[in-house]
Amino acid sequence: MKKTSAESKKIKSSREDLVFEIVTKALLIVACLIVLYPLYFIVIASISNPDYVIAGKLSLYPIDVTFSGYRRIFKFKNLMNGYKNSFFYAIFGGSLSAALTLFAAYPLSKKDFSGRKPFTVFLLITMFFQGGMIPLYIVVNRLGLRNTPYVLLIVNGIQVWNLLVTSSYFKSNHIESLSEAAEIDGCSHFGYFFKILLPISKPIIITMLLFYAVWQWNDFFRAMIYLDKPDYQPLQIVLKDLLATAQVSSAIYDLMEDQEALTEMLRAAEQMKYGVIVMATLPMMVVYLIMQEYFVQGITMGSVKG
Amino acid sequence: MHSKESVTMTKGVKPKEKKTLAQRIKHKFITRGEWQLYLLILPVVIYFIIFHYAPMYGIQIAFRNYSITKPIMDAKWVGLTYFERFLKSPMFPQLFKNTVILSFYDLFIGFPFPVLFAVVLNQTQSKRLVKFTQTVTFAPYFISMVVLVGMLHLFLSPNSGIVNKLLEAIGIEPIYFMGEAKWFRHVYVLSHIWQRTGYQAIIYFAALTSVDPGLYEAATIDGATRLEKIWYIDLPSITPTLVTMLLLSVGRVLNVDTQRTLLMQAPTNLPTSEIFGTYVYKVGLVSAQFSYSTAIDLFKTVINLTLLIITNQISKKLTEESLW
Repeated sequence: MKKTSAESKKIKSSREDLVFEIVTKALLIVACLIVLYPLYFIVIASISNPDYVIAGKLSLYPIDVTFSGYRRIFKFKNLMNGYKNSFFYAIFGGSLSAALTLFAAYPLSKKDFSGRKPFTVFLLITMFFQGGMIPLYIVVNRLGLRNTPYVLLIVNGIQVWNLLVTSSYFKSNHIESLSEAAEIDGCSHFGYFFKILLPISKPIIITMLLFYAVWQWNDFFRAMIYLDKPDYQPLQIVLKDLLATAQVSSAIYDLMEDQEALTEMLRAAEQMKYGVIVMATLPMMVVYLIMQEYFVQGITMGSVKG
Repeated sequence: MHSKESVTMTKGVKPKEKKTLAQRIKHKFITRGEWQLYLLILPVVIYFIIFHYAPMYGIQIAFRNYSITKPIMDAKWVGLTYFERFLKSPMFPQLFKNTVILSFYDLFIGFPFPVLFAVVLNQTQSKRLVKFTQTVTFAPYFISMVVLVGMLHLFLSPNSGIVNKLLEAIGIEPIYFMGEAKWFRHVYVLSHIWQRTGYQAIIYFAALTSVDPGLYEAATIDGATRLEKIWYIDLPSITPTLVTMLLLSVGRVLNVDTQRTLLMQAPTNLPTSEIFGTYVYKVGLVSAQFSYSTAIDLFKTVINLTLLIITNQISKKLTEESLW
């Protein structure tokens, strides 16, 4: 029997679709495994007997479950202090940055604002040309901000990119038309901004809070430059001393009050490393999973603006 | 009703007859309430003057013999001495080579992954799997750099790391990935791909989902295969995004991630891992040679800016895509 060419094409394309579907699904599953396995391994290693971890016996499930690693972590004062500091920086730094970003983004989004062009250029220049590490350090030093908790709330606190994203959100159609209506009704800029615009802009407010808070939580470099005292150090600096060396750091030795045998220390240190990774990352992962849409929205809004 | 009135009113206010500059400013600033807009943007402007423009003024210490105890203007003017010293020093060729290689390696190996990943996501019919995969692959973006490098140390440790245990199992001697100079770039680029692919794919995926479905239907009627649809519909639709991302990356060639590199440095891998940013940090803040460090930093910024302008011009000519 002879098939018409259209029919054979249809059969060909449906077979092609099937193959395609299998291949793309397989690729996605592989991608998920590549991302998930290292994370899963960290979690099971943090609750397994470290002997098995060090010997490379651990693969798919925890062995000889023990929570001694976490018990040690909770007794580690520096780490707990860092935890507390980082929450402070994330909440207050995030709120401050988000508020200022929203304030400034509104004028930048107004087409007939006489300062729009000059201020936009004024801000954009800083994206491509910076004074650099040392001139900024000198400024911060002159202002007496070094070794104060405020330095991390303020320095690099406003990101131009976020300003652009927020102002492009304010420029979107449904908000624009509202703004025109408000103007006609003789609403002042303050009245419009605080009473109308902010209440309907929850998505961008949350997005900005989240981006700034996550950034504050994860940043370590500013603390490394501007803070010497342990009191104000954020979690990431404590972690850096614990993790970013192949050897066991002195911080862990200090922790071992009872001075057990060296091997025991190494065992404990190894397990603690996995535990602190879980502890440091978990809050951000929870925030991410609950607020995922806002993060995605924030990223795509920026790209649409280009 | 009263809104109709105010429409005519605002229209009436628009200046037909010429006003003096002072009058126009007064009108905009007071009558139309623009002072409120200026007040809203004021904190951010002050912030940028202090933390961005004041440091720009401070760049002049690159041309002066500056010490932190005295004001900038009291420091002796030395011209291009520090730039000369840097260009003649043996560090310069090494830093330049390391920075450029690391940057281009990261750029050209790294950028196809999110693009291809977004295309595959877009082609997959099962929406649940797509959603799940996006959720999973975006997650590493939220892991801090400190933790990521910590994970690398744990996984790649020569005596207890899981990677070396696997290599041992197939008869390969343990490798000290985090210490050997020849491994630094590979570990850097691969771990970066692991952390960033899901995040970067979001942008391309958004561009793909905004493609008019009519295009696919028309292509199906014309008998296009799936690969042809990817080639003729998907890829062209993300080209503008792709060009923008590449342009931005080229403008940052010498700005390759300083913090990540600094964390991954070990004394033994410095021959490949010492780059502009890390050297600026060490010269400036570890050994306190402020002027010299600033000169190197400025040199880097100027080259970056030049590259950005050149690539932007080329792109304007070739693809009509540009940043400005």
